[in-house]
Amino acid sequence: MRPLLEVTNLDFSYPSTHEEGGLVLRAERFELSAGTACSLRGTNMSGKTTFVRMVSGHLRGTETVVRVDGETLSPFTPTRARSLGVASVHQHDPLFPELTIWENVMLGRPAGQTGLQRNRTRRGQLGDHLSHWDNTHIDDELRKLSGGAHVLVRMLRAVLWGYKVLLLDEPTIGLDSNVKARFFDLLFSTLNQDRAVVFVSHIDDEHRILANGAARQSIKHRTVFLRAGCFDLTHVGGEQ
Amino acid sequence: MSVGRSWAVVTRSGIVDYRSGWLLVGCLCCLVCDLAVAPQPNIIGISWSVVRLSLPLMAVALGSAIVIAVGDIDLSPAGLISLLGVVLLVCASSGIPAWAAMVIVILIAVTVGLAHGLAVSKLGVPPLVLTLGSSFCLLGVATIVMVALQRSASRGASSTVTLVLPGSYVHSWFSMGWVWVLAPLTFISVWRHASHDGLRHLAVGSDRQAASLAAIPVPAIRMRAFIYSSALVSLGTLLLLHYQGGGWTARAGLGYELKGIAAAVIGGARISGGSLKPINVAFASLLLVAIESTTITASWITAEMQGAIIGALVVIAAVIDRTRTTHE
Repeated sequence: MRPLLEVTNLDFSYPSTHEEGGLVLRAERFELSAGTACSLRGTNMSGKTTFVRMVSGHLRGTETVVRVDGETLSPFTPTRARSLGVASVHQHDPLFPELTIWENVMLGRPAGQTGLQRNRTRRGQLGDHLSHWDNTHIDDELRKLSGGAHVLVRMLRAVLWGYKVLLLDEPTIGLDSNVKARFFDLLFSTLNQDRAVVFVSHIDDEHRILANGAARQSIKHRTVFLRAGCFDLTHVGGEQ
Repeated sequence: MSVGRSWAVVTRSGIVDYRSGWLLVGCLCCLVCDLAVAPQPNIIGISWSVVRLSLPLMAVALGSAIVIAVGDIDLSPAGLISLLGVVLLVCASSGIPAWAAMVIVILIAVTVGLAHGLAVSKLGVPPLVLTLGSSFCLLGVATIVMVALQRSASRGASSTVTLVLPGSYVHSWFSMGWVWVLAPLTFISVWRHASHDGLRHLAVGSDRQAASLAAIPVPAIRMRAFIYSSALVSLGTLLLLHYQGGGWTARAGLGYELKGIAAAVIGGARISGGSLKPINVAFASLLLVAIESTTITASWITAEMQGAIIGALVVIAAVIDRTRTTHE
């Protein structure tokens, strides 16, 4: 079966570490098939965020090739990655507080998904999600919402327009259990056999929640470990 | 749908806000003052004159506001307006038809905007320095060409001498100038409030790093803002020429860059970027011209005092607005 996400010649170093001869990330091949939830684990500075940023087109390795569902990420830009179906929620991914909730979600729309009818449908879906929140309207300015709600809006921005590969980089930091539950409900409501998710977190419980949720939906769960200093995806990890 | 519900929809969408009301009240106050000091009060004549004279400024201010919305600044309108007017004079003296001259002017403006956009977004040149330098450069070119035109017309060489375009170049185009501004104003309002591209402009101005993380092509958006601004400046130049009866000097554009920025800021644009209310920018342009008109009508206000009064009012308006925003 053709992998949904395929990264070859993964090789990235930041300028400061390169001078000392140290590589941040190195791997010959990383693959993720459709219908997989991948827990990406590792200590601080092991390269988890760097990996997510490379796949989402924000950082570029010298020889790295990223393919999503057979299509190559070229040019190596976030816009191209998004249009290929890579959606991401980054660790420090600020939203736009002066814009409304809908406008913030609109900004996650990939290139090519135009049309008033599509917008209207997505607006309706967003309205349905927000109807479960307390006193929140789709046209409310984002600055009026709590920090937890910001994380949910970030997640809605990533998933509402559809995706093939979802990259979540420590998205639940600082959330209380209630909002965290909503976050995972939202994640599992979008997962299916045609999609894959890479979930980065340093909290063990969250990986367990991901594994259990994936099992409930008959989706494969895979854990990949990153070692500090050197990153080798081919030698570690496994399937559950 | 009742008037009340329609109004609720308009205010909720953000097309107009409290500032729109205050700006209109300011315009009306200026109009009343204008009528009070005018030797022969004519409400329709004065109102129409203010509206007409504000149209070129509206076009320039909308362009400035778009650039400010992405967190940049464009100080080139002074030089660009001067140069574009001179280009029209050259076209007229060369016997080029009016429509072709208009196309040439728009193309030159778009090229200048593209050059600014490329330098800012690709080379990382600070927009303040770039557009200020570019403005002086364009002003210099306009002066050189103007002097050459005057020599060929045997009027003596001076940048302050006025040359006049032939009637066929002026009066046939913009006899309904408000339509020429209303169309882009409507387009920019729809673009700002209902389009994905408009939102991305605001997002880039609000936080460039966040915009980049949201897969927004930040350099392309910044470049486009400069092109839109220059295109609107070309429209402002054509309107200005019309309302001046075709008369032009090589320094005709001086002051428009600051008036444009003042109108954008009074209209609610934050200098740091991320906000744009096209309707308010248009109302602010109207207010600035209304204040100017009042100071001109009042015979006891000298030309030197005019600038000081307008500047002071702009500062007061900005301070009041800032205080209110901070309070909110």
